[in-house]
Amino acid sequence: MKLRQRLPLLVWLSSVVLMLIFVMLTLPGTKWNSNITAAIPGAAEPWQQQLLQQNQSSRHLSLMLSGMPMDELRTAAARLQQQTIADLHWYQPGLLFQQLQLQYQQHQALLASPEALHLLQTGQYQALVDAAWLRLLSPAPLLDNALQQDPLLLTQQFIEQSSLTTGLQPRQSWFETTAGSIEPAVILLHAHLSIDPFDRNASTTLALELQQQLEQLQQQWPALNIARSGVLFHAVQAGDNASFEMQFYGGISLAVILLLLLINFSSIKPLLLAITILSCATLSGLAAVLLLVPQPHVLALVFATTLIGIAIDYSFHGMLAANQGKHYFRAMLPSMALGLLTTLLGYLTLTVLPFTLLNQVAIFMCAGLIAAFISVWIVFPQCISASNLRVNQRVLRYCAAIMQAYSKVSVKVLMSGAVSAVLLLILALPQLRFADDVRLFNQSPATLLAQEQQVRALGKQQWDSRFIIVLADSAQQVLQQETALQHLLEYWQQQGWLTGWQALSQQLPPQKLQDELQQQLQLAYQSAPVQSYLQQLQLKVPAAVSSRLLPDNFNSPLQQQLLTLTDQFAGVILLNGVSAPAEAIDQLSALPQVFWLDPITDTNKVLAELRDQLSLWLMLAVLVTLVILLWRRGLKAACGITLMLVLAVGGALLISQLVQQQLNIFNLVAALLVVALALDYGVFFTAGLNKAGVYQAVTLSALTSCLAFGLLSFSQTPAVAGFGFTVFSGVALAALLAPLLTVIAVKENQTRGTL
Amino acid sequence: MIKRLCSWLLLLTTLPCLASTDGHADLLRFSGISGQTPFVQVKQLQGLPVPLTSRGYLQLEQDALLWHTTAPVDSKLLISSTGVSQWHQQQYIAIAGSEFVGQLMLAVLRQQHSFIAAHFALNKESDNCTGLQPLQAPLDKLFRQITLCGEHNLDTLTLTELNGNVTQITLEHTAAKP
Repeated sequence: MKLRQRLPLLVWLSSVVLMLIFVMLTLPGTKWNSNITAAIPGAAEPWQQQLLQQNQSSRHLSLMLSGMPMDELRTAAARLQQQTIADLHWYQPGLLFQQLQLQYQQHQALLASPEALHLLQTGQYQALVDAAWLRLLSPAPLLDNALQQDPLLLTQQFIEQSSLTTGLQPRQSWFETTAGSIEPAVILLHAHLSIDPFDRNASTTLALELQQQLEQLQQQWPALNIARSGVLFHAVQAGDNASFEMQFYGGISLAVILLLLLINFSSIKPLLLAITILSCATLSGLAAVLLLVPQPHVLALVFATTLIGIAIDYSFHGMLAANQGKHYFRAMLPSMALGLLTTLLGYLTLTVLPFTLLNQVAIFMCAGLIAAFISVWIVFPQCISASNLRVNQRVLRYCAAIMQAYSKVSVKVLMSGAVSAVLLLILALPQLRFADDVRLFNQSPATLLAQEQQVRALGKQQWDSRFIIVLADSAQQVLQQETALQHLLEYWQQQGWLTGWQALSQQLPPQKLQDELQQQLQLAYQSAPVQSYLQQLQLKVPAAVSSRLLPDNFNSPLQQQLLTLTDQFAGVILLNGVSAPAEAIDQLSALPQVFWLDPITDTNKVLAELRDQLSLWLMLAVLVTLVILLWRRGLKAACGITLMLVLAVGGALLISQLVQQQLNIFNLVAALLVVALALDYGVFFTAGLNKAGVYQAVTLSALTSCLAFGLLSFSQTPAVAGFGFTVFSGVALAALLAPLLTVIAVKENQTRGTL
Repeated sequence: MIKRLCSWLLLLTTLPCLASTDGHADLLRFSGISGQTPFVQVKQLQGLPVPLTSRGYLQLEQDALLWHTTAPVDSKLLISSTGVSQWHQQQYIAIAGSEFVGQLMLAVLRQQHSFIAAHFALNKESDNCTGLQPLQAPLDKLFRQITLCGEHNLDTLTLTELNGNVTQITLEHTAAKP
């Protein structure tokens, strides 16, 4: 019999031990993600997702060294590159430029500028001859065998007219400002990462190692200025922020909650019990996330710190009820179960949204809350007997005073207040403004953003977040389509809608164009102006070139812009200074297999749709609550609780708008949570439980929830801060309004339970 | 005694520096061109049976050098530290990747010793000539040697490329205009 009584406790204990073992084994190998864009809904098309996954731009980083004379900067740059950092590979621009030149040298007469090709196509041979003479007489060196293979020097001129220069001089291992230039000496180093910068552990290790090396350089050269650019720095910063906030806010929440417990009970036992419940809840939440999510997001853990604030409520209710005896504890359980159910429903709605971050938060919270409830249910009756805990009399007196103050409110005053509040809400709610802009969710520090801007401006790498995608069945078709688009892009440039663009076809013309150039050249060689030119130079007509420069035998960093998807090829055209009107973009998108990709706008559209869905969910949640309450609590209590929920949610959103200026989807998610949390207060205040006990439990519960969510409003991540502030406001309003329910509440029979 | 010893030691330590500076000064004794200087350029290109001869003048300006070829065709190049630009349709069009060539030409014709010493190893070729051998990329990938000849003025400049092309530029100081 004794064993049978102890069985649930043993099962609970074994489960906790098993979860602990699982977490300890899994946690060290877990890859934590810090990419905010991966955590929110994005492009829907499968090819777009493939494309964004293959995008290598997040794996680049750049460092700008300045503040010293060029010689010293070179020494510092060379010192930095001498130190090896695993998974970081420095680009060798000089070497890449030489490689490119060598490839062109081996394929002369296969590449010509669009202007030269036009002259050939229109038979304007004399102009080509004149241009060749000008180039021949320049003191600048020529490519090897230029005259024998390409007497009109078209490939030579193609290289020299290339517009892909950065404005900086390529050195062997970096770019630098031109000697003698009036601009201050600057060196720009580029590197490629072989790790995912959003992989929290790997990126932190790499960034730390790099930081140490940069600090060493700055110790040696105090005047040295280093500006950083690259996703790595932002990802590590975001990860560090999230990690700090998780520990800091979690720590403060825990400390204050434990202090509240100490004040309330003046005993160590409740402290130990609360720690047990919170540890068990956290362990379960973590285990569930590790089990179900392959790469959890660090930001999910920041949201998850709120578990402490909610799970502790069950401890308060459990302790206070158990202290009044097993009978009272059993009577309280259904109310707590109803509270758990409503909170779980609130979080479960988040799992159906296409929002990875919120899905993870929901998994963590649901598992944690269920564990907290089960722990309270199993552990507390075993550990707390009637009047086992001494409740601080001063706290009880405060609660009694609050109770007395609320009891003075007359039904008439309450009703007129409620009507005024509803009217106010009806007038104010249409003023709510939402901004569905993913860029507002996360913000890097201003110094890092300024450095990013500085480095990008210097390297002329200010590519727009929008780009053009060309899809085709083969790489050659991609190059052909890119070449065909050049006229349109030139037109955009003439109209001032585009500053520049970068496509692989600018370095590697399609095979068809190379074939055409060869044919046109053979015709040109037979023309009188070219014949005369060749005779003057005593050169023979070169034979037709049979080899071609193809993606397979071409090596350039621009090849990263040609991607192989599951069943097709994609060419990415990077754009600079885009201000094209919607009609121009529509015209471009109407071209076959040409797509205008704007991941930010696409994500914002998805966010807007999601926000509409969430608004419906919110209204549905309130309606379902009303129906359940009508069934279980009667008309008055149901209407009262629903009104309290509407006022708490509406008020929280209005206050949030006043503070944030604009609301976002996270405020709406928070509103959903306010419904779940505030409902608990309504349930307890309309239950036939000891009033003083309810006041004490709800006050403590509201205090802890306000603390946990209120702390989040100080987060550096705007999305987290907005979420925290709305829940804080909603819970605070609900806690203030819920005691008024006692004025209209229908008291239930204590022996029958409360549900 | 100590003072004398110190002076002797000081002399010993400063002598190599003086000698080195003197060495560079001797090898780079040419005065840079100024004003308008006529030139004759002879290019011997690999695979080309006949050398290409052109004439014109060099005009040194504030931060750039105008390379004006008058025969056999009229063409203008603007050489500056940012590179070489070609006069085409009423404007100068920059030639990509010509930054080092521009800096080299400017430094040699103006006799900017610091640039030359930083990028070349100097050696005495004959009584009147100094050879410059590029020390680092990208110049060492383009030129095998650059030879400067003349007594006081820079009379000829010979650019020997790695691919065998040789460009000899003769400056006619006697016909120079201020």
